[in-house]
Amino acid sequence: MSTRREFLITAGTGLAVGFLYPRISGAKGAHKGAAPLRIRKNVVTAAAQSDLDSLRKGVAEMKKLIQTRPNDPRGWVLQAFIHGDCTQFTFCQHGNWYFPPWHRSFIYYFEQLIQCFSDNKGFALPYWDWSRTHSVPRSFYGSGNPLDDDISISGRCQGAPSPGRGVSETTQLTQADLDTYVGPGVINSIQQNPDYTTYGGGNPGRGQLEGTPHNFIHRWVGGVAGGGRKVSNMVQTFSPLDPIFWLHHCNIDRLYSNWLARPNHNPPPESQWRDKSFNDFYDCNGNRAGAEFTCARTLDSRVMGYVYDQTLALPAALAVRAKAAVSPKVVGSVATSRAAVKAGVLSFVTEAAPPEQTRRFMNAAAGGAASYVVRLRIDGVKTPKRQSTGVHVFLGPDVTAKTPITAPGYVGSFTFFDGEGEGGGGGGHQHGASSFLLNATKAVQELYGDTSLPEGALSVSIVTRALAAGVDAFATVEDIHPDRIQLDVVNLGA
Amino acid sequence: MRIIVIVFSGFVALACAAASSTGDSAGARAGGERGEGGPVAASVITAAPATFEVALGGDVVRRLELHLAHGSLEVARLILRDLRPRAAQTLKGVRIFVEKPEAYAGTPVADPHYAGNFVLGLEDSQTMLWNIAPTLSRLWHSGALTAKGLAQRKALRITFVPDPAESAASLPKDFALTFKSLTIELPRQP
Repeated sequence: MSTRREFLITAGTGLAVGFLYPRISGAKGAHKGAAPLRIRKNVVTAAAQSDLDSLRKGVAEMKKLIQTRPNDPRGWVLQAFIHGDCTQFTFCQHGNWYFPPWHRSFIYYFEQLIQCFSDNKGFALPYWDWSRTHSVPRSFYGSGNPLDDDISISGRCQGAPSPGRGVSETTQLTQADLDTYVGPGVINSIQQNPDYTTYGGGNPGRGQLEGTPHNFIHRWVGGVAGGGRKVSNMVQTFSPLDPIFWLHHCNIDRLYSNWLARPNHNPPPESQWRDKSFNDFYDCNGNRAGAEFTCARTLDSRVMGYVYDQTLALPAALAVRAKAAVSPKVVGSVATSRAAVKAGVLSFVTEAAPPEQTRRFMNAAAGGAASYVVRLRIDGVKTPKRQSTGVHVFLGPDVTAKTPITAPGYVGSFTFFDGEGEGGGGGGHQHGASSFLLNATKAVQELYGDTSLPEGALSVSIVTRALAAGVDAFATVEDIHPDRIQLDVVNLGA
Repeated sequence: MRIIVIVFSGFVALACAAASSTGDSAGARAGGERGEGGPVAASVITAAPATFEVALGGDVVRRLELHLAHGSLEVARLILRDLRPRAAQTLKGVRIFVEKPEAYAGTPVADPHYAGNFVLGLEDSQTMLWNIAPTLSRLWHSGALTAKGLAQRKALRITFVPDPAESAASLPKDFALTFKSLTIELPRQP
């Protein structure tokens, strides 16, 4: 069984590798066949449009099954009934610590079905980031559009809503809603909570991820009852009848991934949680599925063959939290703002050698002391116009523009995602500066694990490369030039 | 303004004793959901803001004060058990404030006493959890929460402010959220 620390190291490097070289054949616990990793994208971006087309096609096919094969478990209504039937929740997990992993599996198998029905094996479910896109995306409305909420099961379930959502395509989340339930400030606050019990759920008990943004969006899309007002499927136990359900939960799953990637954010250690799996779903052939994915196994989404486009770009609030440096867990730091560019490599060198105590802690991390993590914070990274850029970060000397990411000292990579909006108040460009956090423990171990840190200054180097094969225009290191870099040693207290 | 004190000293003592013996967690519970001390009348949140005083055991107070003083408080769980809604169709959400008994519909979420909120799910009975450590730390640093105050009162006041949906002018008269217990637990800090 991997320790939490091992997982963090894997996430810190492997995710980036997967993003830039989307194949995980060498990854521990790789998904079947080691197919290319799917990248789940923001639905309102241009990059997600081909997935949106496949989703439309796949949903149409699943809706056809309601008539042509009413007992087929892959059909639209029976898929929704995995979640809940006419009167109650059936298999879905709400109000307890299984909420994030159960829904992770639920949308994974839905994604598989869409792949089959759309004949697109590369389909990745897009997500609706309601923090930035403040209305249900326009692509989910329209007569004859399978992505509209156009199914009513009132003939089967007494009192079921008529077709149509509780909000129109022009209805916007209010500023008060954003400030209280789903805006970036609320989400950042929830994501910073290091306690899984109050974040993802207790045994039992509803965590903040479910109780605030998740529940709010269900009710906001579903509408408020009374006074002749329209309510819809999203506030029913069979809420997956509304196609936007899947993108809403994909966003919840994205936040779960983001939470897991944060230092010192640990899922439940109990075997009752880790070993639990849910055989509640159906594969492309209509066979029962899900048993292979325990909660622990799905902590790394790459095992299920996907990552999110924003996993590594941690929110600004996290950087602010780190910048405050008030946490007693940061036991040593060394910073650098002196940089030089040479042959496509931007190198930062610390102003001085790390203080003796910091050096001691770094050596402890290099030697594999389980409770110490070396964290690299990169502040003031400029967002370039050419965003198809992978930024690779290395620790140590002698880095060139061609140093491979398999070389000792490779810390990790990040990229940019500041997509174009479809409208509705979200998705606009924000050409500002960002901060990134990377786990540098593995790099420190590779470089200095068998010796010890050098006596003098430390260097951190940055290179940029094309994000994918075939892309020849990408940003230079001058374009993204960060203001400063800091190495923190964090005592996890384990 | 209603302030309802919910203290069940017998169970608090049991909880703290158990916590001391394991060292893993400590808690102060108002209510008897495990049945050790006999039944406790359910508490109710109606349309008006409601404040509940949650008793803290001496050990919890000491540990809370220690962590607050050292800036090491990361997790303090507020647990609302077995909440059951009635006539809540037009409820948008409920905001939660710590040590702010005067909180009302107009109190903003930017208030330093704000600790979070909840939106109802669809279940008949719901248990909810919040981490109120950031709020407690904020109040400690501002002086709104002090060692002296904690030691004297050995309790925290939790205020619930129900918010109706914009489309409903107010919550119906028979609106009610009944719950079995309100607890603050201080687990081992991560």
